[in-house]
Amino acid sequence: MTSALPILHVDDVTVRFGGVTAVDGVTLRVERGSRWAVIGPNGAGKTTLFKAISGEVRPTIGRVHLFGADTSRAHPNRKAQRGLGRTYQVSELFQALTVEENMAIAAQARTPSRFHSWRPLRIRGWIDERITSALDQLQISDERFTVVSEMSHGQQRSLEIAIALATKPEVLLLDEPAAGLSAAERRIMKDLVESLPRDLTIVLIEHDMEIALELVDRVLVLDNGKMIAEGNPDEIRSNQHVQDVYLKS
Amino acid sequence: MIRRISLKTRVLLVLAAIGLGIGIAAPYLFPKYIVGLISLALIGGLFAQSVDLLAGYVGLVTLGQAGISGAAAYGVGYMASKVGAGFPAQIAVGLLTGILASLLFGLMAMRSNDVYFIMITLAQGMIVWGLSIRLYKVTGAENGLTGIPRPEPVNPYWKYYYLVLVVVVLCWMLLGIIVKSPFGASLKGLRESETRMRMLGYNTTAQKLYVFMLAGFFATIAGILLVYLNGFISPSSVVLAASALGVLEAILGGVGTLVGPMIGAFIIVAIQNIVSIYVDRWPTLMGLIFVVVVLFARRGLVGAISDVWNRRQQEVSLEPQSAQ
Ligand SMILES: Nc1ncnc2c1ncn2[C@@H]1O[C@H](COP(=O)(O)OP(=O)(O)O)[C@@H](O)[C@H]1O
Ligand SMILES: [Mg+2]
Repeated sequence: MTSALPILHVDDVTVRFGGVTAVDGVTLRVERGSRWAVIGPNGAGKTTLFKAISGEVRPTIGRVHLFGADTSRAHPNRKAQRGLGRTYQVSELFQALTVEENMAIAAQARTPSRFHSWRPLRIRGWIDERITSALDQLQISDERFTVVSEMSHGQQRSLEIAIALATKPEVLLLDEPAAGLSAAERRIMKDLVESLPRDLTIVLIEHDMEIALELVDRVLVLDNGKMIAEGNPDEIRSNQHVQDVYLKS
Repeated sequence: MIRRISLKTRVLLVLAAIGLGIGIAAPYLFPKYIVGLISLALIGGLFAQSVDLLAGYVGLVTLGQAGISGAAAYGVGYMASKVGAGFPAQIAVGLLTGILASLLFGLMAMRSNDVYFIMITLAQGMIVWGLSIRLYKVTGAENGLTGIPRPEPVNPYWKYYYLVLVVVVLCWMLLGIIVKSPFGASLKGLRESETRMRMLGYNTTAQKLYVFMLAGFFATIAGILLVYLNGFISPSSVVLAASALGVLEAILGGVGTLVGPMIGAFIIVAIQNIVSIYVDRWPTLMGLIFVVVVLFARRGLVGAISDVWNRRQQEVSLEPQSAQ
């Protein structure tokens, strides 16, 4: 069997902030269409790993390959243009704008029309289709004309994902989509993430191990910036080291 | 949803028609002095709109915009009074110096935000002011450049007024298209979260350079209109206070709108020229107005009026049905 080039390849990446080593020699090979979870206690370096993948921080050591190309030094907007999407642990939305405006900005992000300044923005045709389908997917169609700052926290978490979907990414990084949600809302969010298109490659950060393990094929466990385990959900569940890390946190 | 022209839109259309009507009839209604002031306010309004394109729509407050309009005005003045070139050459050079200044200053400022952006644009305004004092042969230093005639066909004050009216209304419409365009929407995104914009795929540095140059273009037009209105240009047109006035007018009228800066400019011109006959401390008065607006109507006059309007509408819709 010939193994295809992974769509995302984090190759022995270390990220240091001054004296703090947030990510310490992490390697991750994500195949196209697979679903990964990165789990670990708070401060383990999960978000920093995402930032190194997205280009928000540069790896101190190591390489990040996306879609077969070395993108270790590429800016986030370049990676996004190639098909990387990312959501934020703390919602990063256009608070003063409506849901539709948020979505329109995202939908045109990877098209030449984003620089068109001589004609009005019209939400119809493919833009409308993209917005409608992403809002439907996340079940917030009713909020289309609501100003974001007036939405509930749960709805904002859904919009966080809908915005990323509207750019039609091939690889999607979800940073704790269920952060700050109640137990019931977490189950709904889990179903929403589960229902995302199967051809979309997903890497998910989730603090809640049970939710994470139900959603993915492969799991990477971080603690103190280091990889302490990697495997399928069953292997991770039965891994004593992982259990210890989670019990002490 | 049924698309109807809302009451609000209708009221706005009527107000716009009245404004345009008064604008067209002004030379017949008012003496020369007042028509001159209206010209000044229209040009000031365009200048304040160019400031607001950055400050209100993108959240980048500039304190150097008069440096750009000033560069354009000096370009025109130099060609007129030092070279003795014809009007096409004067205007071409004015456009060129204004746009070149926008490009240069845009390249310097495009990587900064917030306070850093304010400081950089402040410095840019100072550079132009410094040059206007130093380059005696080009700028006439403190004396400035005087005796810049208007193009012959629009030389009479009322004809020049109509030219100003047409150019400002055209620019206003252009600005209206820009802020409602896909690019305009992305500017609001930039104001709300640059992090998110980058992660969506926007090259925010390029966005900032582009909008900076667009704003600079409109400031350039304002600078050229102003130098022909006054017939002279001097360092006092490019001082910090001239740039700050644009910001004040935008805030006073309402940032993030195009009509706000225009209203702000009319109010400031009125205060400066009419009230100051009786009050010789108008800078103090303007300072007070500014403080009052910032304290009690953060979104300026336009924001305050639309708040009152919305509250009234709510009260109306809450009235019992039997009242009809
Ligand atoms: N910009 C930064 N500067 C300095 N230290 C940072 C920075 N970002 C994260 N860290 C540190 O790196 C470690 C990992 O943080 P983070 O990646 O946010 O963890 P997680 O997402 O797993 O909770 C923490 O100790 C955090 O304090
Ligand atoms: Mg985190």
